[in-house]
Amino acid sequence: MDTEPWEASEYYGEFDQRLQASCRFQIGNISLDRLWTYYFGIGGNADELALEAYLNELLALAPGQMQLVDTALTELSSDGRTEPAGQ
Amino acid sequence: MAQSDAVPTAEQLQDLLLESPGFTEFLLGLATISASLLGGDSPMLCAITVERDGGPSTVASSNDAARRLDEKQYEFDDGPCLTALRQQRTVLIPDLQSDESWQHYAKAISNEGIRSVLAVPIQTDDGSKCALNCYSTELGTFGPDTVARVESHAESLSRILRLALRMHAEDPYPEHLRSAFKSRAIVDAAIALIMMQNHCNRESALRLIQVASRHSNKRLHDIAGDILDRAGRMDQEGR
Repeated sequence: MDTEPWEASEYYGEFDQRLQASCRFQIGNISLDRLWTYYFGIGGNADELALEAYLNELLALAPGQMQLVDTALTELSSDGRTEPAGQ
Repeated sequence: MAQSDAVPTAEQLQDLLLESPGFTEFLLGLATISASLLGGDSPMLCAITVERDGGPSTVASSNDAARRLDEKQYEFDDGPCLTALRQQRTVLIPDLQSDESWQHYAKAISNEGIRSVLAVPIQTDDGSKCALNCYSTELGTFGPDTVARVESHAESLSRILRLALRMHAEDPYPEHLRSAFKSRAIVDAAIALIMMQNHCNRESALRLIQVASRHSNKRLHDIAGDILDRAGRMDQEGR
């Protein structure tokens, strides 16, 4: 199957993605607890310890899960809301 | 500042109760109001502790220092506030350093610069106990007048606190956890729906939702909700 354009970001390498997530987490001033809860709320499956290891660049997550962490970081930082959207 | 009158109005308290999403937020507001009403020339740190039978205890503090001072008491399971709470009596420590009965507590909080402590019970219904704790960095803050003011302030909080305890009965999960549960249920339902329609696996379904979210610039949770709504509408039209 052809590569869809939207998949491009998943090919910039797991290490880059991890580094980027780690930076965004640190800059964003978000607590691990808050990030994990949000990530869980949008369908995340990794436990908090794995997420912490991922953010400390010690562990890789499945591609879909890394993407979800990205989404969680984006949604959390976009308007400072703490609870999952749509309330 | 209303120095002579440290009693908040009923409207103020009712507004606070109505505007607080949960019990913790309400208690936090109450601690902040107490600190600003009771604080005179030198700022006073305030904390309110609530213990429910068989339930979690909640501590709300007007700032971080007050929170640390209260948490120390829980480490020892003893302290002026816990005594006021459990024995429902006012505890006054005019000079923490020279007070013999609270030496171990004084040592534990010695780096916080607190010189005197006043803890006053707040009357509530059976099943819960409550106390207001005030800390001051100065000696002589809690003279007879101030103690009377704090006691009447605590009394004025009794009714709204009883209402709040009824309104927010037994809440094992704070608001952000509940909304995460709700969000997760919606995302999971949308994933299941896509899996069923496309005969795909969970990862592919989740990726489809993520792509839709990114393209439409909407939150993942909102997209999942949209997918469910649309399916619901189609289901109704098909009947």
